[in-house]
Amino acid sequence: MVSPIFSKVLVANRGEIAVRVQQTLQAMGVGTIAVYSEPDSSAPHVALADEAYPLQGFTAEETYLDIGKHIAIARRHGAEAIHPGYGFLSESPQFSRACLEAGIVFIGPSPESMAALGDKVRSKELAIQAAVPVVPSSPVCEPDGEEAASFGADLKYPLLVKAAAGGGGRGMRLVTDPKDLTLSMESAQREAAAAFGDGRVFLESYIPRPRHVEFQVLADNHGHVIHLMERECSIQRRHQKIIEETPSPVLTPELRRQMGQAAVAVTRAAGYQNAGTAEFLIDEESGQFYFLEMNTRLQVEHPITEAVLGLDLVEWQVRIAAGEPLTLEQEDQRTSGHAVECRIYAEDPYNNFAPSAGKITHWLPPSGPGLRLDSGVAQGQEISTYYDPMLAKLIAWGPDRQTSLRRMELALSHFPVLGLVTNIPFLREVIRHPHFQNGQYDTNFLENTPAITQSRGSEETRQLANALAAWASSASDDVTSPGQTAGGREPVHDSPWRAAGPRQFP
Amino acid sequence: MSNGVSSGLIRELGPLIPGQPGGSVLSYEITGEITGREGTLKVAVDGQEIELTIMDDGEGNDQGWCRTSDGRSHRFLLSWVGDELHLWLDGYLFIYQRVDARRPDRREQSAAGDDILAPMPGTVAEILVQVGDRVERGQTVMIMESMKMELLIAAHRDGVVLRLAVEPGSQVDKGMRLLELQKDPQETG
Repeated sequence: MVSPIFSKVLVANRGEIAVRVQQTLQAMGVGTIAVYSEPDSSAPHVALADEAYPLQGFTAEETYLDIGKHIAIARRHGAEAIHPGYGFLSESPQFSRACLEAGIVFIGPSPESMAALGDKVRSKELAIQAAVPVVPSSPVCEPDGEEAASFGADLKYPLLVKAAAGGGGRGMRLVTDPKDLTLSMESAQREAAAAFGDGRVFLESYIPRPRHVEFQVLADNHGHVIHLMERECSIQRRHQKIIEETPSPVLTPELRRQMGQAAVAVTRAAGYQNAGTAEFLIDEESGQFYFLEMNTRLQVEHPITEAVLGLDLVEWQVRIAAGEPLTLEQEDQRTSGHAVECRIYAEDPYNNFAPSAGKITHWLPPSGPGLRLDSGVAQGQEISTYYDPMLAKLIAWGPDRQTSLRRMELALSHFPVLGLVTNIPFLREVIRHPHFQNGQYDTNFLENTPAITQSRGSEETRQLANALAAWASSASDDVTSPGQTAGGREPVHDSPWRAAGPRQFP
Repeated sequence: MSNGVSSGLIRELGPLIPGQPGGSVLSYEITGEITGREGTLKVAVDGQEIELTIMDDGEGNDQGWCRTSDGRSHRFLLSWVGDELHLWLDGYLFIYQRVDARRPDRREQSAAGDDILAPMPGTVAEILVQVGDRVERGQTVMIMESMKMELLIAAHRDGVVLRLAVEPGSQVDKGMRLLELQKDPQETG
């Protein structure tokens, strides 16, 4: 038997990505080490692991963001490499360097190229050197004082406040009125400091109706760089992606070629290795594209690329980190069909996307042709407010866009989750919307489609729901204390099915 | 049970908006019978009657199918979460609350228009107003943090801050009172 590429790898993350990374490692014959905070002690990523060790603590700062704890566990238990997933320490050059210094392989880029590309301000300079167009922006600046105000005036309002570090929409604010600039920058600084340990922010020109299209790149340690086509990520809420698809409905073969070349050029200019993603904005009015930033990690939405190219991106991350050459050639990369991903969040789209917490009493995911679920939760699990509210990702593939969208719509229709509020019904509304179906959408889709965050099913469905709820409420009254009228006491809740004997109405 | 029709009140919990009253109270009447695993009921909610046949899944779970008089079949799931009834139907999650028949307005009173309520569980990060401050509708009065995100809490109407119910660092649950507003005494009406 061929010995595995690494004997053991520590996965420095939680939730669905910690599960997904371990699945590939285990398929490669690599032993997995999970780490967990106290609220996560019975989470699926722990159950799946070959070994699991506590990080002791509750908050992200005490646990998944603590570099020292991860390095200590990796050393003590013989991990040869660490996979950081996305979020948490995945884009921390300090973590990448700490691994290097401890003699542990970091499955991701070197600290130098991560620092150069992970910093949005510096990555733009690299893009300009590589003759790739960028969105105009200011240097890093402080909220109070005239400097920010004068940059703001130069860039013109509305503008965006953005965190220099990190991603995922954290630390980003749209400012339409100059008098809101200071408060928005301060709020963005606090959020960025809490999320990434780096509170620096800068200002950027705002393109009013942009499409957000990104290109996946892979680069080995021997100078070979390819791109793996695009992902269209324009459906966002609070500047965070919720639905992604590939191919993009708007990319022509010529635009795809140009943007792919630009992504490869920026990757090369930074001397980058491993998997990365070049994010672009496309101005629909002018048809011009702009390089936005480079994400120096595996993306949440990587499964749609895997679906249309038949690749395992985590496997390539591991192989490249081990020093193997990337054996894929650009001209061989041809996509097959269409894939779409929906991010399942514990949040209430009908209440300004406020996070919801609680115990998942029912979690009954769908299955079927072309479906993939990357999930980090299980039925019975308690969802706390300590971490990101993303529970899982649902991916649908089809031979064409119409088929994959239909599969997604049906999958979302047959995915009961009870115990806390999720965005599943809302995602289905977006998939069904004519503008999404036609591919005519930009990053302002939700703001421009307010009705979609108010709909709660047809009148007929609501009427039926009311009737079923009345029956269930009445049935549980029977169980509680026969002979009394509804209400007026502490109810003992039970399934109507478990009520003893035949129930009579009357 | 006494003779007559089974009846009661439930509240459909719509979006919980800070300072706004909760969802509407519905009154129901049920006629019919379920024996074993199947039965047909007539359910009138707020006077609108529908007939539905309910079928058990035979597994003793909180789920089944129901058929409406148009012949269409719908799968549903039920779960009591505290005093909330979670109902999954046709891909939607509906949440109801049992209503005390003697005090049907309890929730509206606690969520009367003077309070700003927490829209989600989390931590109070910063309070931007003091008791006695005049605030305008839409003004940010507090910043909450939950799941690594900041949420700006805005006043839902003009008024004067009467009382702060929390302090920076307070852990709050969804629906908990954050701040009490008083109508601006300088305004008439």
